[in-house]
Parts: sequence; structure tokens; C-alpha cells
Amino acid sequence: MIKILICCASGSGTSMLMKLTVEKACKASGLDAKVTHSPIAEGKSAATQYDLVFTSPNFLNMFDSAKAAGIKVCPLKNPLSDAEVKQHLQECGFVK
Amino acid sequence: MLKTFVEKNHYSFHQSFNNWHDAIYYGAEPLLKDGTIDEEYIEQIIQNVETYGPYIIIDPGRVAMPHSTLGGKGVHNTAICFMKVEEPVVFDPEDHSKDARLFFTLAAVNPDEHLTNMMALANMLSTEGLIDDLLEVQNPEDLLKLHEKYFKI
Repeated sequence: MIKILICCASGSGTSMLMKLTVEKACKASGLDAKVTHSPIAEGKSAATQYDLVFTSPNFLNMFDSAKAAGIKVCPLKNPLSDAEVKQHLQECGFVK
Repeated sequence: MLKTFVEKNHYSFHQSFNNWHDAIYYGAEPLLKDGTIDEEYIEQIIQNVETYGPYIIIDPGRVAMPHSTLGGKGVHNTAICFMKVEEPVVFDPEDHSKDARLFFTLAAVNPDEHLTNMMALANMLSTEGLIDDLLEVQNPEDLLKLHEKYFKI
């Protein structure tokens, strides 16, 4: 099982929408994943405990230290797009 | 959900706005009128966008979801409010993928209700063709017609 973190500013709107999309995409790809969402302020420091982080492009640079620690961090332009999530999962090597 | 917008008077239609601040204000106005939120909540949403940029765009060039924190100040009820604007609202003049014409303003105090609302919204917006149709609606009757078209069991 992989652990995925999703962050947006408030942790209740955009990230929740992303969570629903990511869960759908993982299920469709047969990937066993635990998806958590949180506000950016909390997620920023917790990121290193996850395998993969999805966030809005605006917040990407807040995860520079997680990236440096080897965590995959992906921007989601369209929080409703399963296709975009699947593409990231493939590029990161979580699904074939 | 489309039917709920009409039943609860949580909708508005506008031609254009001078700036995105006005768009966010009017997108939330029906919630203000029935006491779901206070002006303070709208100010928070605007402040969030000022601080973090237009992360509320959930479908590039088309759909915005203005919101602040669950249980934030000035929110008294859980609801979603619909607004359609004829001319795209520009959040970033250099990036038109941050434009929007459909607005779904979120208000949330109850986590369970909010999750139910969000799932319904995600489900609705991922319905093939629905966003294209929503871009054409002119009045509440059109919203009800779309409800019939897509969600009538």
C-alpha cells in the first residue's frame, strides 16, 4: 500500500475534491492507496511521511524540502481529472 | 444538486464583473441573503485567493470553487451556491487557464454534510457533457431541465 497526501490552502475544498478524484483513479488503476488530505500548513511538514503528494500548482514550491527528501510531489491542474492523476501515477512509477 | 440550487435559491446569473473580487462576492451573495454566511466569510475567501493565488479554479478556464476553511468564521450552515457568468472572470491576466464562468461557492460547518456535498459536486462535475451544458444555462428553469436530463432516475 502506498500513502498519498493531498494538500490545498484550507484542507476542505480543493484537496477534498482531489482526494475523491485520486481515490477513483487509484481504484481504477488497481493501486492500493491510503489517501489523506490536509491544509497546506500541516501538510508541508508531514509530507515526508508519505510516498506521494498531490497539490495545486500554486503550492508546489512549498514542498521543495519533501522533494529533496525523495518524496514524489505532483501538481494537479485539474482536480476533477482522473486522467491527469493516472498520468502522474504512471510517471512516478506507481502503476505501469 | 441542480434541483437543490433552485429549491434553496442558491443560484445567480450575471453578465460580467469588473474584477474577480466582485465575482466572488456575488457568487456568495445568495448565501449571504439567507444567513448561511456573513460578509466575513466572503472576505476570508478573497483573502485566501490574494494570499495563495487562484487555487480555487477546479476546471481550467471554466469552473471555480470559492471556499475557505471548514467551520471558518462567518459560516453558519453547510451549502453550495451556483453562479454563472456570461463573460469569463479573469483571476490572472497572464494565465487564462485561471479564468472561470461557473462558480460553486462552498460553505461548510458540518464535516459529514460537507463531504456528502463535495461528493455530489465531484460526481456532478465529472458527468460527461454537464459542464458544457451548464455554460449554456440562462435561468433556474434551465437548471431544472439539466437536472431532468442527467439525474432523473
